[in-house]
Amino acid sequence: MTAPATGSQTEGGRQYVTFFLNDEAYAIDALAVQEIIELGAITKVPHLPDFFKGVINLRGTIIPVIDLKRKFAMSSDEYKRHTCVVVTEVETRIMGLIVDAVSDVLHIAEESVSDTPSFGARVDTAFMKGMAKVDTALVIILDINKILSETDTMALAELQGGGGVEHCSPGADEERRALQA
Amino acid sequence: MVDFKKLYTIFVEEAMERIADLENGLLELEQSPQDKELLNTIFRAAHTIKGSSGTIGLTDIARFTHTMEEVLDAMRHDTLVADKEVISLFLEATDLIKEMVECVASESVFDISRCSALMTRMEALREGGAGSSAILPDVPGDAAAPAGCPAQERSYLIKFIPGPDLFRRGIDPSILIDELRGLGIVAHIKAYTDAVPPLSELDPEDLYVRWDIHFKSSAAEADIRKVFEFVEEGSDIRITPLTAREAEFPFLGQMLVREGAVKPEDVENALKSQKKLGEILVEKGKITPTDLERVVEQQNHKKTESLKSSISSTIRVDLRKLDHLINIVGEMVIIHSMFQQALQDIPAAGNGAPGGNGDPGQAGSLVPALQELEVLFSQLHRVGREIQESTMSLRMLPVGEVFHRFTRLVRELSVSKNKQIELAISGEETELDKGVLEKITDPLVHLIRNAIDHGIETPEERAAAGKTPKGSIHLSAFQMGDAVFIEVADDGKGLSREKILKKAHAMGLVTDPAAAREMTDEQICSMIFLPGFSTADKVSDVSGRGVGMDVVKRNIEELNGRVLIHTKPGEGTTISVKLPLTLAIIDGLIVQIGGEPFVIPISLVVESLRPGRDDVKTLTERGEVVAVRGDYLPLIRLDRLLGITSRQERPWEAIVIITAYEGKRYGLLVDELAGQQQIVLKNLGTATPRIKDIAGGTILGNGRVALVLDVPGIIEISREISRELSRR
Repeated sequence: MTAPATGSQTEGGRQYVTFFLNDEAYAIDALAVQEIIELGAITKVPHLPDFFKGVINLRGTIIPVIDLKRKFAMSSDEYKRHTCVVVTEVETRIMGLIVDAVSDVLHIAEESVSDTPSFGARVDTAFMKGMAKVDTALVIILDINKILSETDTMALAELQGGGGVEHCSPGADEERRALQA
Repeated sequence: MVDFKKLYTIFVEEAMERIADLENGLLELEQSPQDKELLNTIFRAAHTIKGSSGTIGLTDIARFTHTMEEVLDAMRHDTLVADKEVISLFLEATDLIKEMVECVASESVFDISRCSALMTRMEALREGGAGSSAILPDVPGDAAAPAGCPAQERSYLIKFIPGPDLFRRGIDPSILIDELRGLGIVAHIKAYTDAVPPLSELDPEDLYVRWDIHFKSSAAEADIRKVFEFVEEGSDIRITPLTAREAEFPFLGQMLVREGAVKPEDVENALKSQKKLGEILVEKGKITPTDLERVVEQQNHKKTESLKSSISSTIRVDLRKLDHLINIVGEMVIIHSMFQQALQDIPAAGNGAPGGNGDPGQAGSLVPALQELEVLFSQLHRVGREIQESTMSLRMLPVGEVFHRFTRLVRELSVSKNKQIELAISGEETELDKGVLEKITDPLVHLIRNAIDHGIETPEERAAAGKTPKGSIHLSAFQMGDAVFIEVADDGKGLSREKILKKAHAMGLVTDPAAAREMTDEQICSMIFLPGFSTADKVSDVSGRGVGMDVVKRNIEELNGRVLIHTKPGEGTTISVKLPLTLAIIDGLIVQIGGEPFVIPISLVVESLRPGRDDVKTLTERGEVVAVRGDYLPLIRLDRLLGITSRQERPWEAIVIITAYEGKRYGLLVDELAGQQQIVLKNLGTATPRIKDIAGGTILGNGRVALVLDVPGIIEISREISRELSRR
């Protein structure tokens, strides 16, 4: 069977879990999503950047959760009624993402995904894989690997600079240091 | 299909254990060469490896171990004496088997030609007998005559080409092979299936296969032929006696010969001219012999470094422990059904009374049922606890498993350092969590190397100091309370206070000579654990590069353990490693800081107290100290360190937890104590960055995560801060 390169219906795309951050729609690869849970009590972990909300108990396993709206420095970062945690797993590394309302599981065809346009310096597109038009809405596809690997480099910085000078007495310094990390 | 991967895994596990037996046995044999029982143990170990590797088709290993076994057999029959050189040869062979097994484990290909030189030497040993010059390396043994013993076992190659009608005559070829086994050892069977036709032309009653059988026996050739008596008609049976070399080397060379590509003499000559790579390089003037020696020594070190990796990821459990666990689980099942019964009885007790509803006796009759439930519950609680303890004990392994591996390390390093060192081991039955045991191996290697390299003097130095020329290292383990101590004690020259101070001065760690004089021995000793610190006069390749001791300390602290040094100049050094019994469950003190619960391992807490208003002083407006019974301890405000807003700004309204670290005491300021409980230590998830002052987390009874503080990490951070401040 020598199938034509284009035109196959289902093979040319992927399933995505879509969710909202404020009014914008985002999507991540459904294969990376382990489950979606209610936002429960979070234990703050010191020294980490503020988008890193802390750790939670996921049925006896401790996993970190990050706040995507903070990570993307979006204007309002309060939690809403439907705020929940999307638990993602990539290569045995589990992480929770705090999002406003999970909306759907969608199939997005490969050809409807376009590259992220360059916004210049104002928008950080490092975590975006591309954009897709679903019906009339625009969905931004996130690269979960990039988000995870960034926490890795953070960990490295923490190990090397762990207990640096910024620890000195006034407690407020911690916040600044954490932000710099 | 057979799951080979699984088979291989089981094989590797078992083989690694047998290899350890081999190694330990050989080392013991060196001490008592006449011990027949020991020899039997070694023989059995080799035999088991041979058997199990042969079974799953790892013929290279089987063949190699077979050669080993033959030589061992010669020793059992006193035709060969286990002298130092024989033992060394065997240790080398053991290493090679280990490498082969590791290749099986990593699914990589082992270059089998590396075995041939060793096999030749072993063959030479067996044939040459004790003390002969044949044990010199790289002199291939005389292939021909097994002159000595009359009842000499001989090897045969039996080519068995059965007639196609064998089955129809009611003969099963496997019976013939079984019969052969009665006469000797069937070392190897190769079946040739090239004559099997395509399925469409295949007659199921015809036999298309022929066999090559490598057979070893002391029986006469005629007796062997007799086995095939009934099949001789119509079959082709060729029995060729093999020379020892041929029997053991169906390797590349012989295969080439068999294929007709080269003549046997060519292979023989090639083997003779084959030298070790190093020797060739020396000959060509590419390297000097001393360089070669150095590199070879390094290679040996690599081998010892792989000690750690040889602990497998599965665990062997004492059957009694399992039986005990099964018993308790049985008990739990019984209590479970009793519970069920008691619960069923409750409505009966409630409704069973005549009169039904509104009967005043109803509530009263519930009481005994509830009491019974309470009794059952307490029983369940007890069983639950026992199950927990028993399950934890499954992870416990005797330290001897690791200890005995060091015999080899000491033997080889002491030879290469020209020192005479004896390793004494005690307390090998002490049990330690498998996870702890795995992580402690590397630090122990470092400590033992240090003792050999820096601790123990050369025989001449020892003699000059009035000591026995033979130094000793005592490796011991014992349990005390909820901790296990592992000690490495040498009777060498001890640590020199002056040397350490000099070095500390050079590194800028101690600048004030007066302060240096006041330092306790313990404080001085603890400096050798600083990164980059080494007191060795010259850098040797064993240790002395200043890496090692700081790694040792870090590894041990990661296990919630401590390292302590005791040293007496001229008498020796003892390094004790204190380890928790298990990693998984620790006793924790729960404290509140800024409304958040944190856990401090109780093993690190000396005491806790509320200081008086006058007990807390600031120094140059920066550092704070707290007075505890006349001593001033540095006060670490955990809220500031962790970046939390505390509820208690004033230390005299808060609690100070005293902890000791590297011989110094520190006060940790927390808001309040919230209790004490056993906690299960967990990591914060693989995607969470590692933070120096947090050791991990645990889940409290209310389902929330509480962070466990890393006390050594906290103290190190606060030290760095004060060092930084004093520099400004």
